[in-house]
Amino acid sequence: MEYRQLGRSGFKVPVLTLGTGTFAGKGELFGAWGTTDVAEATRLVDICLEHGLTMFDSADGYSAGGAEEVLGAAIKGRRDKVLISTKATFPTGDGPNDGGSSRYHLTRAVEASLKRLGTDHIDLFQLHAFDAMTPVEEALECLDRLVAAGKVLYTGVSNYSGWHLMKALAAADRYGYPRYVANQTYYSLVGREYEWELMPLGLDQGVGAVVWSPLGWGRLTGKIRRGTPLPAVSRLHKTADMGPPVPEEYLYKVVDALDAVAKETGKTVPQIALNWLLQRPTVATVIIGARNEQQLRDNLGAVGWALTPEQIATLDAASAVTPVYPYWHQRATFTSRNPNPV
Amino acid sequence: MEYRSLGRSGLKVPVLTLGTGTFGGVGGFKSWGETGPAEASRLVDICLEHGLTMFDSADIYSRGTSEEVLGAAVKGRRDKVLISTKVAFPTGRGPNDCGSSRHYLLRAVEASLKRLGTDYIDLLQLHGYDAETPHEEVLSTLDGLIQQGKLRYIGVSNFSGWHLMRALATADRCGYQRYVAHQAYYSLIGRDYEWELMPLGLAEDVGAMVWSPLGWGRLTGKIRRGAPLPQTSRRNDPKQNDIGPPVDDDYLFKVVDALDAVAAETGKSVPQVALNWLLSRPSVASVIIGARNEDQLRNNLGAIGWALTKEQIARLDAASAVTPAYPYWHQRQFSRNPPPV
Repeated sequence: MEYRQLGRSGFKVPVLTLGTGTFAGKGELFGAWGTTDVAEATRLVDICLEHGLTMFDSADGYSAGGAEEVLGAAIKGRRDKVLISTKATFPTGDGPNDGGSSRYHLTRAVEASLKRLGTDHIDLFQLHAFDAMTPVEEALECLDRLVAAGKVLYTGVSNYSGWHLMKALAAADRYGYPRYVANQTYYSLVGREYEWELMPLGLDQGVGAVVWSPLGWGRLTGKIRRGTPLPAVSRLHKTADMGPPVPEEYLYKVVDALDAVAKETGKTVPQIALNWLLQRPTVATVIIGARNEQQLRDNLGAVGWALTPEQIATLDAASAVTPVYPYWHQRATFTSRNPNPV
Repeated sequence: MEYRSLGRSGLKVPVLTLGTGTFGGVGGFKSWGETGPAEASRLVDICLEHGLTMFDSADIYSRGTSEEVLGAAVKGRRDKVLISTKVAFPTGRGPNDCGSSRHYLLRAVEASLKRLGTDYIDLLQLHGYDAETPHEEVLSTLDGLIQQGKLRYIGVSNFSGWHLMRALATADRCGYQRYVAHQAYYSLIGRDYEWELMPLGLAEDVGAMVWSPLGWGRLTGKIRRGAPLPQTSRRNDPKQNDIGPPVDDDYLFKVVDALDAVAAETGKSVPQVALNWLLSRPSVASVIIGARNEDQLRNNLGAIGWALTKEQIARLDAASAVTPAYPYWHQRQFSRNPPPV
């Protein structure tokens, strides 16, 4: 397994992380993701560790805490062999303070996650979304104390706008708080908006990307293509509206290119889609999902080899879109002093 | 004329600004307009009669000629007008003939002052983001120019959200003057401004100076489903299409249909309705109108002094709604980060 520096930190993470949104499986969204129980989760962790995949990502919102509990049980007795990342901020109750990044909620959320995970520290703690109603300094000061207490080792964000993250980084610098080193973000061959604002920011500020939904919300599995019915087990039946919108024609064009590269390389469509992500600037780790051993082993085959520059160019061209303002303007006018990272 | 505070500043600006990209007509700007000093003076007369006191230019418009024509047109009445201009895009082929370095900015501001025939610029905007110059260098240079009285206020244009946020945080940390304006593209057929830059503008108090409010010449009322492009449209120039905002035809026609319906109800023209809609949006300080002639100017001036109803705004919002890109669609799932519109 290849390990990369997580942003501007001394922390090395494997280029693949196992996402645990499939663990437990409570509720409509998470039930459609997967319903992995402790025994199966333990087996998945075994396979991961055999392959050097040591990082596991969860969130307090996944299956109402169930995912963290299953993960905690699955790694029991081998906490020192694994890296745990999790997230908080989305509502965990109906009360006015049962969500957000306030000192009140974050303090309670971290304690609750530690308990469910059965550990005394979280290696990477990410704010799951930007809370516009809490001053960025309040969240940073709270996280600073949690780091000082040894409960959290590194901090990151998720689903932030560029200016949200930049504002927080500047505030951290100004007051001497730990900087966010990770941005858990959606990025895929059928969702390249990350490249417009967040990638240049990540490069400039040393924030590593922890990529979620690298297969475009279950679309780049190799089972979805022009003229083929959606497989019965696809989570898209129930959850398409909650994920990134992807026009069908665009999806098919990208899948056609993936199919062509699959034929050349002898790899599967998801393996190629994941390998492509690992060639992109700023990407520290890609979060893979697996409902079963076979999916996990297939995804693990995404590393240990590399697409050629020509193959990457083919995939880049098939997935290219015109960016929105101000990015198209920046590409049309002033690339000499503000070049694109990709 | 209504006047609004320009971001977090004490300066009041009229809600309409006259853009002078049409002044001069040299090189690629010819298809925008070829207004000379006499006609420009007449346009300025009409603007001032209506309380439109702000005029926006850029050093690259017609290779400096736009600023020269504007300077001639406001001669003898400098104290009656507000002048904004922009620098950073290349004015020569040398490695230091562009950007926001101290070296270039000092030269660019002197050159603009000379062409404009004035000793100060009310609002200087950086026309594009220069990733190769440290923010501290840019801000300390602009701060010095403000202290020398050569600039009154400063702003940016076409910046990404994080570019602007980084600059504002640097200004705060170092005690330099902040940017108070963001000259941004925003129109009924280009609402991307609302995703990143509007919430930033509101949170940090940076006012929008809107460029191309009619979507790069598309919301003139002359472009609609099944109608041939007018001969005088700058959209006949393929180079102009390449450097302007991309707009899908079906989307354009859907928005124009909604504009037509509101125009019929209000008795206003399509561009008047499109401009009035912009003035109802949060963070907008001033909308930059263009005019190749008196007629176009008078028509655009009719965009103010009245207001669309909430119901009319809602219909225009609905017709022009699009699904935002990541991370903005994801953010709409969280009640503690509500979109401003």
